[in-house]
Amino acid sequence: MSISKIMKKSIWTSNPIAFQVLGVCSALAVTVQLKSGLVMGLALTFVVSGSNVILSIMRHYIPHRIRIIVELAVISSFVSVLDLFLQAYFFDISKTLSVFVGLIITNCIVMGRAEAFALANDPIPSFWDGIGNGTGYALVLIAIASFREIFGSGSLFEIQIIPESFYDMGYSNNGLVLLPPSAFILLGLIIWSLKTLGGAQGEE
Amino acid sequence: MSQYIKLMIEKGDILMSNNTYTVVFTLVMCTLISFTLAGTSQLLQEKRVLNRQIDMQKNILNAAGKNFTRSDEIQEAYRNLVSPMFISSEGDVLSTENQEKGALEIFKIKNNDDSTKIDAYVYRVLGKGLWSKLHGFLAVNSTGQQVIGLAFFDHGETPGLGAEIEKKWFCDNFVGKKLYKDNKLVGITVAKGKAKNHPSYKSMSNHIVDGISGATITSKGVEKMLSKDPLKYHNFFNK
Repeated sequence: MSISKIMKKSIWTSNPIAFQVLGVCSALAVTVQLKSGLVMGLALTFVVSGSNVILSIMRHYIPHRIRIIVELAVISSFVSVLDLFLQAYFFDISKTLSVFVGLIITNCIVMGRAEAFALANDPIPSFWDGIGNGTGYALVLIAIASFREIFGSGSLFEIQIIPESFYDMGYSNNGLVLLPPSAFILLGLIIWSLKTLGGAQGEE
Repeated sequence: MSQYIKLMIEKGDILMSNNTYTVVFTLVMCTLISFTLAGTSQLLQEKRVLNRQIDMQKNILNAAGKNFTRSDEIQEAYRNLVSPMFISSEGDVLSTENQEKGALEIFKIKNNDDSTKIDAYVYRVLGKGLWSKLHGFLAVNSTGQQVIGLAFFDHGETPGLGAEIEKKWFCDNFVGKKLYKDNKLVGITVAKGKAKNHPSYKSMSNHIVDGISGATITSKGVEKMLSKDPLKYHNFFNK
């Protein structure tokens, strides 16, 4: 498979959130603000592509019976190292992400791509598959987070964008948009519209 | 996946299903991973501890209304302006050698221009939010009754809701508010919505601040924290 085909498939036609419905829990949790959604998307992209490459290199040596636990060990050490690096060199980012870094381990996309792609393909395609899936995940997160931050807090990247005069005229932020159920509804709408727009017709 | 399984079958898969191989593989992998993790942690230890220390210093200064962003500025300001000390529960200042158990730490913040003047006293406060403990620093004046500032440095509240407590707009609400009324600790109420809509705003305006919509439990935690923690330092300020 060519790189462009892999990218198209993982970002669009089988987008991890919209069509594989993976990584939904974190999509609900970190999308109150655009900044945390974006950073989470980047962190996940880094972890998926990195762990995909390492697992793909190891794939001929991993005993079949214990492959799931091997995948988990590689992924979680990747995340731990990432966490330590953030704490040492990007302290502010690590503070904003707090527990979410650790939760990347449990994100189904990482395990899913390791199991479905990295164990059957060479390191370079696996790397691009990771980048593609991470980007696909990040794009959906950005869409949800922008909506929730604009209508829930009236801001984007914590900068006020809805003018004060609107509030004086009686407009008020929608508190419901800040709560997880609203993300669930939004996600449903996104999946519905993407399917109608004709992305994938399921896995090939 | 199917490609992989086919490959395994073609190879005969003798090696891969061998018990000894599996055990050896596991041992080697675990050893490698342990060394990688321990090594990384050790290598970055110094920097991580330093970062955490600077963050703490930044928040102590922040609470006292002195904002710095660059880490060298923070360290220098902390060295020049802050003197930590320990007090006993009776309110006596303890010498560094003579620390008893349960001694309370309090930071004296000197004025930038005149180092004989004390700008604020800062102490740690601990509250309980919805998901997590709220760790903060509270700066008060020399009588311990009026708030100079408040800063939160560690919590696990929901971003956009409870986590707003660490934002400048929320902490700034507390500046100049009073913890005591007629020499009795009454604390500070976090209103639902705007403080001026609170029913007892007229008589208690010095004790009510604007709240965060959608973060009732976190707000209650902040409230409770401010009506409890200052008591521990009551004796010190009334000496």
